[in-house]
Amino acid sequence: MKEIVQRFCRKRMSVVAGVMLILIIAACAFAPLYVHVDPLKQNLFNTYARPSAEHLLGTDNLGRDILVRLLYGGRSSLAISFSGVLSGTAVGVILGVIAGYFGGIADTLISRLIDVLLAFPGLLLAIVVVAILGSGESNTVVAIAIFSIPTVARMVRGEVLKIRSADYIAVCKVMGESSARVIVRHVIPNAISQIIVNVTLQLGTAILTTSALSFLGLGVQPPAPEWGAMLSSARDVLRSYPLPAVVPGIAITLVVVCFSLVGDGLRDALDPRLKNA
Amino acid sequence: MTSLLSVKNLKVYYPVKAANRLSSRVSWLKAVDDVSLEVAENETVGIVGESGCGKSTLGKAVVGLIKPTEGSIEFDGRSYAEMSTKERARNIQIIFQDPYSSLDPRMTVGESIEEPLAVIEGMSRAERRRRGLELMEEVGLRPDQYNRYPHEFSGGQRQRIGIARALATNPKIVVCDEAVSALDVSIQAQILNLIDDLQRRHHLSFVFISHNLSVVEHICDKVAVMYLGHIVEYGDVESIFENPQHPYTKALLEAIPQIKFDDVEPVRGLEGDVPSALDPPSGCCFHTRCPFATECCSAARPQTVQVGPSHWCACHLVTGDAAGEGTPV
Amino acid sequence: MSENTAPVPEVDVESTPLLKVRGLTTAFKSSGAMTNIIEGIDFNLYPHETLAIVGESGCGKSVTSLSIMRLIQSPGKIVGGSVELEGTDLLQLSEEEMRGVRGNKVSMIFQEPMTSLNPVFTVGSQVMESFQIHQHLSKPEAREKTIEMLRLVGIPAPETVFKEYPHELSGGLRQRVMIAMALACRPRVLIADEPTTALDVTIQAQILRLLRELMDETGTATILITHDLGVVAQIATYVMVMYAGQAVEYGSVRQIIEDPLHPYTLGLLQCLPRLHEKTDRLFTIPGAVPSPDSYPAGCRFCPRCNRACERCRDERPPLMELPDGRRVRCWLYADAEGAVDVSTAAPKGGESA
Repeated sequence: MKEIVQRFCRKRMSVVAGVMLILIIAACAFAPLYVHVDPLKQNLFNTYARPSAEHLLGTDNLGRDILVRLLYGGRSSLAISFSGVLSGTAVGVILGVIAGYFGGIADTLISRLIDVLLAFPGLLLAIVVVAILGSGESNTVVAIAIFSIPTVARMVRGEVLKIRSADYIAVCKVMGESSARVIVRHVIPNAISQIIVNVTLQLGTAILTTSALSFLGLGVQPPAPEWGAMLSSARDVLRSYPLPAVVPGIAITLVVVCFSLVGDGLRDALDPRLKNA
Repeated sequence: MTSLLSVKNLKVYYPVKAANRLSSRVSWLKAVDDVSLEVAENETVGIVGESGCGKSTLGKAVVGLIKPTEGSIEFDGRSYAEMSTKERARNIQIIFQDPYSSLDPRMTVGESIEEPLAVIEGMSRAERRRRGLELMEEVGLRPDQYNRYPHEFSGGQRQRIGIARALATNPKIVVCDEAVSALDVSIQAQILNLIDDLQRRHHLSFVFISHNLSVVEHICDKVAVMYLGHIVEYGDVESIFENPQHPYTKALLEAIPQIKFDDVEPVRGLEGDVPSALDPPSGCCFHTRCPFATECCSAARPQTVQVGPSHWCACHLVTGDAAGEGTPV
Repeated sequence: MSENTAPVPEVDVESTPLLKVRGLTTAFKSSGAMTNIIEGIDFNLYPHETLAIVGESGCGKSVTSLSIMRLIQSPGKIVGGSVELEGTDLLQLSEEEMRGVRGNKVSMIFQEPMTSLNPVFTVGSQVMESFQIHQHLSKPEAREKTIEMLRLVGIPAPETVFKEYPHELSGGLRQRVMIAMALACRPRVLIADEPTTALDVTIQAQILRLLRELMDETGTATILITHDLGVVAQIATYVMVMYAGQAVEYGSVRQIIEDPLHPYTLGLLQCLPRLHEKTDRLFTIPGAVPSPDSYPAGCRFCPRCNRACERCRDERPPLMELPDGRRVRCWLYADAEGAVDVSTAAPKGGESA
């Protein structure tokens, strides 16, 4: 464990990205504790205000504080992405393990299902799901989950195939260990690092997808704050007053880049091939 | 000596789908074809042969990793079919070749060694730990290495961990599948001596699968020479190495590069490669490479006959069916 | 000052070495510091000769061969010494010039022929490539040469094999193709890194026989990297035994096998089970090879040596040359009559003519 941290710390960019992510997540998550302004509070006499001491990042088309909306919006963007990716990963891991470990007809069925899901462009798949289930936060979570299942399942399946052929699994079989025990004690622990890396990388994509859905009006519904929704409402005045669009734009970019850098760093830190055996 | 393990007419065939996806024709790869073998208590039986001869498949069938297509394996007079997996696993264990892949990288040495105790014997944590430390001492590991992970160990030490795990349940038979082949010579000698010590102490039987004939001669009491799924010669180690009867055994022995200078013109050795097990030659499977092959050899499969007090061989030259030159007795 | 470092027992003094390696030192970067993986490797290689470099895994034998080919990749680096091939120091050449040497004057065969051949090209096209690159032959000429080469290495029906892909061949045939590729341009020096380790014994015997015949025929000098002393006895003329990155003994194959001097060489020979010599118990060398960052202060073999004394623990033994041309790195022979210290202290090219 200490080794992994050491190796991760060797990559400057990943460490910087990691610290930044933690700050952003903490700022958004604890926003209700220290921000006492309602993100929905409108002030139609003070729309499109320039940044000032009262409104650090100015106000939007309805006179709402952009910084407050940014923090609360981050809360919902991040919450949706996390719960979506985590539940998607859980399902993906189960499918991947079954396909990889048991093979045969289960593998064929699951692999074809993965192929079908992967055949859709990611965002389109999410849109289809929301279109069927209807818009709203919980349905966005489902969309993100379904969106991340195939990638996880395919990765886990490959990983399990590799682990399954190792001699220590044969030793377990000689002992008559049950498949469930082998999977829980040997297969999953050996695949976990790959899964963690994958979750991190998926989170970046999920943030993008959540925002995109909201931007299209399919995700979080106005007036609730959400980064994609904020972008959407600011796009009418993009030419005359770009600030309300630029701020959430930067936030999305920053978080996505950070997740991807952390994912890269984790991959290198956890890769057993780099371990000096 | 009564036999502890007896393999009777064992056949292991793998179905192989035709390369052509449209045809549903399935051909069979005969990895082990009609093999019989006995292992007595406190005895080491070597199985030698080149890659693809089926020696590993035979070993895996003995530990129950592969289900035989036909034939039976009996332990102590009872067939595997009548035994529970736990009962079989308690008595028959395996050590693999690659010490890097045979240990779970995420488990400490102690956890790895104790796993059979938890799974097969259902021992309590404290009991397991006591036995685990005992086993570590037995194979020459230090107790302070109990909580280390496999990547902190050298190949030889990992092999010791694998041996400790195999011995955890006090098995009667241990299958060593190329257990020393991946090790450096100085480490190989250490492990061979360890295996020897363990046999003396616990009256273990070993099925020692190896391609290295010098090692087999050193450690085994009996040897079976396999070629394309068949045992072509079987007997006491002295008998086979001093007086090989089958042309394949002779060729194998001659092919080993020896560490001496006898200034003898090197023998020509065998030509060509081992034929595919998917499409084995008719009659005697060795006839395509055998320098003494006659027509009879491609026509009929040779019977296994006794050629010495404890020495069997399957070759037409030996049985006298073929009018070969210099038929040995 | 005339050269006093060339170990040339039983070899015509008139002939000049094809390959002269002096003080070759290669280091790898590990946790910030450069650690020497091989240190001060010296040897001469003459035409028709086979030098076997023997040792256990981690002794640096493969790094030695890769250093000669300048194929050491980062974090590794050749930090000193010289590798003179017919008078030119390969270490001073530009990467461009070195490419002209590799595969042409010096070529190499590896242990695993499957990974060394490109799976998407036919065997023929891969062998042909070296003729086209190094000898600038036209396609039909190269093709003809290739088939001739495949026939030379004993491949039955070379015209058919020419059109096949590597995965369609057996291990033995693949290794023959590798040898054909390596010998295509009639190299002066062939480096064979464990060429038969992945093969079955009967196939190994075929390949060793082929190598021996080809050496006699073409005059190519060979550096054979192996851990198998049986292979050494069959094919080598000279042997260098390596331990923990250093040469510990050098001599003719008969000297090494029949009368080893260094306790490590002796141990290696004794711990092998030998055919038709059944012993009850094998000799063992206790312990394991130390890792490069934990080498003992004195002799690197000292902790495992059964003849170690005070001096071995504290002082590094120099490489001593004995009057019969053998070299050994052991304090036991430091006071032997006529022993000369020949270890290259500083890995610099200072002694070149």
